[in-house]
Order: sequence, then C-alpha cells, then structure tokens
Amino acid sequence: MRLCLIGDSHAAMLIAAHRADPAGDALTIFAKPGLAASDIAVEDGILRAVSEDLCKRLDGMGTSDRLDLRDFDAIVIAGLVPSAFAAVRLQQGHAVSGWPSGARALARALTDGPGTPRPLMTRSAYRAALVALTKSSLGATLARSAPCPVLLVPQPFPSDALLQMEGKYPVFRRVVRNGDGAALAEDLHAAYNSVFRKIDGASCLLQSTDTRSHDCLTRADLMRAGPRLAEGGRQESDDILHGNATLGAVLWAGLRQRLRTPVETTSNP
Amino acid sequence: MPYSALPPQAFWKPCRAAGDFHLDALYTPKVALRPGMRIATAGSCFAQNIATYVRASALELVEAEPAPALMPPEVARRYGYGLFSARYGNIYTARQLRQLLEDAEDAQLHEEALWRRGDVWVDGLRPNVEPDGFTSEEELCAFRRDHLRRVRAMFDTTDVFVFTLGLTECWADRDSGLVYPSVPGVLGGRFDPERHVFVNQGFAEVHEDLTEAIARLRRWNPRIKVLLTVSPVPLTATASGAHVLAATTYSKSVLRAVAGDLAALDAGIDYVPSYEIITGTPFGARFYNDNLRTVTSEGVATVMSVFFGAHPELGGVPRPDLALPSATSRQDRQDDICEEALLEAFAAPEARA
Repeated sequence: MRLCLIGDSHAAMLIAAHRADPAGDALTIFAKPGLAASDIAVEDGILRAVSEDLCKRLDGMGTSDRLDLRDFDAIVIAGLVPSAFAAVRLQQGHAVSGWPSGARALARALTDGPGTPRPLMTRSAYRAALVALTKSSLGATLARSAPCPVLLVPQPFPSDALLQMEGKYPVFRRVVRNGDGAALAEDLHAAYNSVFRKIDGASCLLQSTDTRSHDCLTRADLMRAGPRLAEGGRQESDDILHGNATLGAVLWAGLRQRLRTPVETTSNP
Repeated sequence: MPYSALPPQAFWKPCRAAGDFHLDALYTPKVALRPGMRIATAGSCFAQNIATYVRASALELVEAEPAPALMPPEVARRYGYGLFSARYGNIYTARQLRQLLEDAEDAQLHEEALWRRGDVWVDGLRPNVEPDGFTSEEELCAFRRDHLRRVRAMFDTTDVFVFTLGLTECWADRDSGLVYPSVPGVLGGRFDPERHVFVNQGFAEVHEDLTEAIARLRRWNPRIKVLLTVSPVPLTATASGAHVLAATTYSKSVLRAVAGDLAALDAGIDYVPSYEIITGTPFGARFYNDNLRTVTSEGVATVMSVFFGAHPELGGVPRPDLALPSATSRQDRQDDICEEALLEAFAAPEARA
C-alpha cells in the first residue's frame, strides 16, 4: 500500500519499525518534531509545507514539500492529538467525579469536615474538554481534509519508568497512586473515538492494553532507546515520551490489520 | 441659587452638546480600586462581562472554582467556569444572593432543589452549570456542598464584591420560600402550580435581602467593599401579567432605586452606573443588538471604559468612538410647558453654548 505518514516526533517509532519490516508498504514521511498547524497548509487534497523548518526536514528525508494526498491509499497520523499529558494536566487541579479518586472526594465533600482540597469536576465536563481539544487538534484538522482513509496513531502513554523518577511527573504518579489510570485512559480514548468516528474514513488505533502498565503508562521496554526523526538519532536515556521500534512494530501490526478492514464511516455504516 | 455653582454634567443641555455626554463625569468612585485588589463578581448575565474585564486588568479576579487547566474557553463557559468568581451561575435576584450566602455559611442543602431531568439530577439552584446533569443525587449533593464551601471561603479573601442586580421576578417554593434562578420545569425539575409560586419583589424586599446579604458578607469579612450595578438587559419574559416593557421598567426601577439607596447611605457600598450608560437616551439603542435586549460589545466596552477610567491606577480601557450626532434646533413638535427647563439658565455660560 502507498501510505503517507504525517506526524511529529512520534512518527519515528513507526518509521523505524517500517524500515525493519516494510511488508510491501511504501511509506512517504511528512514529519517533524513538534509539527504544528503553522508548518503546513492543506487545500483540495494537496498538503504543503509552509515553514522553513519543515521544508528543511523534508528535504533531509527526501520528501517533497508538496504532496497530493490522493496519491495515497491511506494516511497515518502519528501524534498531533492531545496526549495523556494533556489529560493529566486537565485534571491536575480538580477531582474528577466518576474516577476512583473522585469517588473518595465525593464522599469527603458530603461530610461536615473541611471538604476536598481540589474542586470537584464532573466526568462529563472532563470528557467535553478532551473532546474539544481533540476536535481542534492538528490531527483532526488533517483527517477532515484528507481525501483518503486516515488512521490516527496517538502519542503513546509515557513510559512507566517515570514512576522511578523521584521529583518528576508528580501528577502522573498521583494518577497511578490513586488508581485513576484506567479512567484516564478510557476518557482519553473515548475523546479520540468521539471525534474521529465522526470524520468520514477516519479511525483511531488505540494503544492496546498489553503494551501498557498501570493502564495509563507504557511498559518501559517499549519506550527505551526510542529513535529520533533525525537519521540514526536516539532519544535521551531518561526520555519517557517516545516509543521504540518494538512498540512501532506492534502498532504496525495493528495498522496493517486495520488497513485491510473496511473503515467504518458515517456514510458507510 | 443652588444650581448656579453646579458643574456642566449636572445639566442636560451641556451634556447633550458634549460629544460623549460627559461620560467621564458619570462615575466618581467612593471605593478606590488599586492594582492587585481581589475582586469577586456575581449577578445576572451582564455581570459575566465584568469578570472578563477584571481578569484582563491590574485587578485580581477571585476564582474560587477556576476552570481546569487546558479546558477550552467554550467548554469552560458551557460548564459555568470563569463566568463569575464561582460556579453559581446567574444570580438574578437579591433574594437569590441572600439565600446563597445563607446556604454557604453552613453548606446547607435543600431537598426541593434536587431536581430530576430524565435520568440525571440537576441542581435547581444553578441548573445550567452542568449541562449534562449529575449522574446521581449523591453526586449532585457533593458538588453543591463543595461549591458552597468554596463560595464561603472566597469571601474571606475578597477585597471588593461586585454584584449586578438583574431581576425582581422569580419563582419560589411556596412552603420553604426557596427561590430558583429559573422556573422549575425548564432546565429540570417539574413545575407544580400548587408548590411553585411567582414572586415579584418590591423595593422593601429587595432592599432587605441585599442589606442582609451584605451584612452577612461583612460578618465574614469586615473589610469587604461592595460595588452594585444594575443589569441593562431587559426581561426575556414576565410572569407578572404586565407587558414585558412595563415589567422591565418596574424591575429595573426597583433595583436601581435599591442600589442607589444603599450606596447613598453606606461608605462601603458604591454604585457603578452601567445601567445608565446602556439604557440612557443619550445613546439611544446603539448599545443593544438587533433584539434590543442583549448588549453589544461596544456597549460593554463603553461601560468598562467609564469604570476603569475612574480608577487611574488600573490603567484604562479604550473607549469606543461615541460621537453623538450634533443637536439641531429643529424639533418635531412644540416643547411641553416645563418649569424645570428654566434651570437650564443656571448652567455655566460656556456649557450653555
């Protein structure tokens, strides 16, 4: 299949895995770390790089700065939607009712004691915010303007190595400690699905549970020594954000299975 | 003569002749605002604008229930975040404010305000802040108690409370007297004519409710100052039996009179004349949208330019171009005989021109 991979630094794990096993798929890469809306323009199925930085990156990868997306069988979007970090940040100052920690906060609010340290937030409000963030993301914008099927591969959950990093990522650790990981992942995935299922030809490849730990983290072995977009580069040893080629291969397996399945769309139920 | 030493803004004709009706002289604050002062806001729909401008100013908006980080503004608004200093929704009446403060003192719940809407539960005292409702009665009660605690706590650290009076009309529970911000049955609950009664407050009732509310605030925080405004937004509908225009005039007149009376007699209470700016004849209906009800952003900006312009330390808010059409001598009919018009002669000569 002719595939166009559009994404940020999280495209690197897919590129590495594809190089190891192309399986007959031709991959065109249109990516740069931190890819933003200001880097690109899409009109009538034509994707153009408009920032100097992106043009330079594409040149280095041998990709044209102008792609006709109709030339591809499918587009894979890597990253470019709110990540677990956004989901964590969104609840950082609140207690989400319906989550395990929220249930405890609810019980506390009903007592005559001093109440909850963090204000309560309904799960409905939390999900509405995630949906709105996803809807306005670059990933969703691209999917809406794509002339062919689109598969979203969101940024992976961060490595569970963060649990060993004293003083760093305290809110993530709190989510895990409170037993909120499953609820967080469920709400984030629900937001992706809610937005992408309404876009004709688009679907999401959500991270499978066997690649995760504590529901909202990724097993460290799948995140260690992740590749960079720059040729031959490796992420820092303490990087917890990027998946490696092994995770990329797992995702490719899912991608290929999905690409061989007719995409469920609103017009093709 | 008592009128001879008065400034130009005391006379209609020189105000009419001025390009902006001497708006800068309309508001002379008793309560001086300085950068960093903590401002809490509440009131009817129009008061939402105050929070927006305060947030953008050198003042500090008290946010007892802030929007979650990263929550997009349109979602935050839909869920009642950021509209006021807490998620109480619109507080249209003085009775509603008094009731909220009473409830906040001891985190009191009211069985008659635990509404149902289909499968969900609705807080009858702020029915619009959770558009999807609560999943259970327990969740609703927990959220309400959490809200009340935060409302109570926010006044401990508030320097100035800005309250916008909106309506005199409301619906109440016949037995308990509890008032609702909207008639039961619209956003939740069920209207029961045996139980729910229409109330249209008069001067004495509004005065008493507002006085009691402010007294409670001062018991909590003796240093707190109060700024009162009256919403210029007309009633959407009246249940009084009167024409909506007459009902609006009655409601706003009562609220304006109460605000004026309280401000006149209390050094810690001030009145900000947003109502006059928007509804006054000098600017016709130019500050209203086509529905002649909601206020344009130009109108809001004009109010805020007068408000912030009167507090020089806060920096200003740009005033929209308000040039009034020049007055002509042509009139479409003969003036009524009006002795009061003789007072025009006392305006300073340069102002009379």
